Amino acid sequence: MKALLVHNYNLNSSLIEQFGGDKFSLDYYQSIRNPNFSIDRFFHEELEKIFKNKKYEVIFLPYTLSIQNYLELTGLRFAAHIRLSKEFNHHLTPIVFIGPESPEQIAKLSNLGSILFTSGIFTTTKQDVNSINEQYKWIINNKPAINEIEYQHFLERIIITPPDNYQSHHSIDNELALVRWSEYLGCDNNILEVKENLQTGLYFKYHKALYPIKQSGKGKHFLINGQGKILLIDDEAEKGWAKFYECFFSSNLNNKSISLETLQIDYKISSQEQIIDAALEKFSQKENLPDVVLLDLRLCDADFKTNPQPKPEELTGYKILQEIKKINRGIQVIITTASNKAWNYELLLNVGANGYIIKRADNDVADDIKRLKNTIEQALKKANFLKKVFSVIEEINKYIHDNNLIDESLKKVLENNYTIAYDMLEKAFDNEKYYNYSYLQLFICIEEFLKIKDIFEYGDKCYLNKNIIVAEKLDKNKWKSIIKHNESTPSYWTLEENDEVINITTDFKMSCYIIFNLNQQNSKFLNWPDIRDIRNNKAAHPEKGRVTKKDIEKILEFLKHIFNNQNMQQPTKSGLK
Amino acid sequence: MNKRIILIEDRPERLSQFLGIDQINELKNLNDLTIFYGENCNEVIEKINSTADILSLNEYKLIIIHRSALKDLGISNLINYCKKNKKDLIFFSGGISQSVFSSNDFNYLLVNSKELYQPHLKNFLSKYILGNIKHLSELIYGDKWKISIMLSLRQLLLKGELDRMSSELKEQYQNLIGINSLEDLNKEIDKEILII
Repeated sequence: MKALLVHNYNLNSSLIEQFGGDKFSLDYYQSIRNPNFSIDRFFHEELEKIFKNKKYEVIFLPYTLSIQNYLELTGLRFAAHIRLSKEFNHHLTPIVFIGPESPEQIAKLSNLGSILFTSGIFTTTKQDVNSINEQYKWIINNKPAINEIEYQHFLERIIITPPDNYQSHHSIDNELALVRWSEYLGCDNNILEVKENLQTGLYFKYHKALYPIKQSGKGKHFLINGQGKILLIDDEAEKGWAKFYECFFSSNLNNKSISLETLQIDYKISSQEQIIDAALEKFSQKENLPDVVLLDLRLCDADFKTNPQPKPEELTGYKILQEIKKINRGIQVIITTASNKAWNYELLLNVGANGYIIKRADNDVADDIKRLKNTIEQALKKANFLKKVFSVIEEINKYIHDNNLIDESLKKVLENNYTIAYDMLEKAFDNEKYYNYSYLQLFICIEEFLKIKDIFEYGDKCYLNKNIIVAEKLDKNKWKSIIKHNESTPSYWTLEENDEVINITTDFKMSCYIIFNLNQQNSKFLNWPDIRDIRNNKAAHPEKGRVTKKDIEKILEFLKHIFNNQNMQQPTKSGLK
Repeated sequence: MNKRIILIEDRPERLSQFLGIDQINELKNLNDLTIFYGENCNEVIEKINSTADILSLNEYKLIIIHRSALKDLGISNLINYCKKNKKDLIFFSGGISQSVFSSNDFNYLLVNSKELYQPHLKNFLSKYILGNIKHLSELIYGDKWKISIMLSLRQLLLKGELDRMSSELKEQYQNLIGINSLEDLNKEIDKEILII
């Protein structure tokens, strides 16, 4: 008789004694006081022992393997393990439940009772060896195994709920992605506990059977093109994601081009407020801000509430994202999520998220890793430029705020211009034309600056600082002026009275400002002639030329200088008489 | 005399993850229930982790604690303490996929957090305090707890254990469900399951 009887001495003792096949007593009560006891791990390990080098034709067991608490109905769970563990090669074997209850009664008492109404599952109320032998023979002759179609029906019919710490498919996908990505890079030895959960947990077995996973394959380590400081904010960091990223960035960590940090906090026992505080602590030193943040959205228990579910803007990750973007919009925040919900994407982009890494169990791992590499390279590239840009713009806005020559309405106009210019720079990484548009927007700030009457007042006589006459109209196209145009390349202006000026241009106004208010010999100061020519020759003509990041940096430095009231000096030179 | 309970939950947000504000307030207002959660439970957890003689728990009859909050040694300490002092112990954790009960030496229940933090938790605790909980499994099965006891008894009877059962055990079953003949048990079980 190639049959197996699994029991916990909770069947009629004469049946156990006289059973003709192998017998295996399974008593988990000896183990339940172990610190990390998990019934799924226990069952998995027992199955490994039971089926080692064995092939049974029928398996008999009671509905429960508990003596003290029948409703645990652990026999059902054990049978589900047999069905869902293909590696033990008994997943198609007929199973007979022994017990006085009817299948309908058991199904009323447990969700797992659904297994009783699937192919290859039999029940008997008789606990004598003759009846069991009869049933064995009948099964061998009539239903020696279930087929693949019946197996699929079994998967459709069985009900297995995830344990509480896998509140959604996202948590499952998250762990599966961790294991598959780590296997791909050959660093899965770092996540043995997660791997064991996936291997032994009944729900994971069920999930794997429903959604078979392709082999991850093996990839090579590579060098990320770029450098910077990366911060991982993920409640699963300690569970394995921190180790994964250490492995992912290993070449760059070795050559010190990239540094990787995590929050030194136990997410599980921290409140939302504590997690946000710990995250923002990493942004407290302005001169040492992270470049790229890999941010999970759900970071504490409150984020996993089910009734009612938190609104997106109540999630801890969302709040951290908002705060980071207030500190420096140039910091690139990549949302790492196992969700691909559209609301997430739209909403988070609106708050300033810079990209998504979706952790899915069913994707091609090589593609996922490639996408991860590209996303991070692009983020580092953007952060290197945009973080500096944002800082300079913040500084300029502060100067504008403190500058009492600028009235409130102009302050608003200028701040708005800078925001638009920054937005365009973000877009420029996808379409370089936006560098030109951004440059023009920044140049408008120079023009707005020169419209301040306390700085330059236009009329038949043009005044600087309300009292220095820098130009006087002679006729329609002719001005007498205190500065003279010098036709070199690039052209510039020097202090010299002449009557050759035809138009009072932005160049003229700014050159006056530079020579008088910044106390310079000529208008070459801070590359003004270049800044002017880039505006006229490249920025305004995207079809002819592209503004570069260096051009942007140049004009920003210029703006920073002129908007800083401290740099304005009392003119020592005289104007026209 | 009331039976006092201590609930130790190191994850501060988990109560609100499963229970509404009103339900949490009801728990907080229960006399004879002490709740330590978040940072407030550090001290008691530290004690359990470091000593086998946890005097501060002496006044409680039921200890409900998040298993993962404790180190391995703390878990052993607490189990030994409950065994020695005949305390009831409920360990809960998010990773527990199947509830398990044992009454060997002391009443011990291992449950998933979701099964602990149910709306009827307050009723269970109130009844427990007043001594009206006959079996810890009432926490997970609610009104169905008796079915489990009846099924367990029937299992023993079918196994042919009746004659070998100690009079103490027979009395326990008698007290819990008031039935001990197989025929009566079958009828009662069928009836109870029918009305689920």
